[in-house]
Amino acid sequence: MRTSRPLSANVHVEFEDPHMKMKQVIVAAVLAAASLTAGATLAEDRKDLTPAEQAESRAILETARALANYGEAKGDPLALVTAANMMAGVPGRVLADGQEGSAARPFDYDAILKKAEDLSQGDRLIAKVAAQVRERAAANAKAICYWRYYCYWNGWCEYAYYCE
Amino acid sequence: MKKLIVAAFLLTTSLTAGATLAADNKPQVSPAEQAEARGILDMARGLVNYGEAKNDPLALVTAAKMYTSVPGRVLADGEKGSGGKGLDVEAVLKKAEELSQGDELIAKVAKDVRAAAEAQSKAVCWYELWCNNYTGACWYEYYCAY
Repeated sequence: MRTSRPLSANVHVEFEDPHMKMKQVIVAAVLAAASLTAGATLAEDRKDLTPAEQAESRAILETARALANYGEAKGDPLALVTAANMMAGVPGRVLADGQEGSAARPFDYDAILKKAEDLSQGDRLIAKVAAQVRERAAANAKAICYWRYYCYWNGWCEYAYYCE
Repeated sequence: MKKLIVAAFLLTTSLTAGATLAADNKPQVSPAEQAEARGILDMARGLVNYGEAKNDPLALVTAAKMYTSVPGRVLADGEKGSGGKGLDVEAVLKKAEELSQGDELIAKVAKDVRAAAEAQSKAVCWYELWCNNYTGACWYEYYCAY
């Protein structure tokens, strides 16, 4: 999956004002935090996915989380089922926030899908997709590897992959 | 911790909002609405990448719907100004329809999005994608023509 964007093709202007300096500092801080936390994850993980596959799944989960927030904020059932579908598509179980270990409570797909179904007021097409996502999530629930949502002291959050 | 994330997000959005205002254009939407729309457009871009990579028509139509939900037109990469070429939402929808092989939901959403895109194409305000050469940071800026 392409998670980065083409840079040189899209460049319109190079800023030299203080705002851009600040932005550079923020981006550098984010990159530093990301590389540090990635290191921490690799040190703890037992992996059955390559680092590239883990990075891809992390990016998908982050996008899905943002999309679920968007769907809830905008009352958009399509966004909600799409987010749930993305989460159910990554290898391994996705745990609920704050849960740990293989016996922990999984992410509540049903809550997000029910919300989508409520918002769609019985739209049979949304209901059909929701049923497919439930099947996918049920298959994932049997996995022995899982994704934990981890937040660090500096406010940086990420998904970390574990196997038992 | 969450406060820190929110603070960092607000700082970033306030910086880019400042850049927009400095460009001497008259926004028809508030800075908060612009910041929200920027977030939606960034998410939609990520979703298109995901949909293309994973051949996921659901992600593609959701992204197309998000593109047409923001106020103003969204320009294609590298396009500028009120005469700039709009983002090709039709290409995203066609790809989704091809992948879905006649799925009813995808067809229904695509139809709705086409209607929204038609209305949006007449807007006098638009979003341009800007990228910084050094940092790699990209963001959408909002402009209006009068």
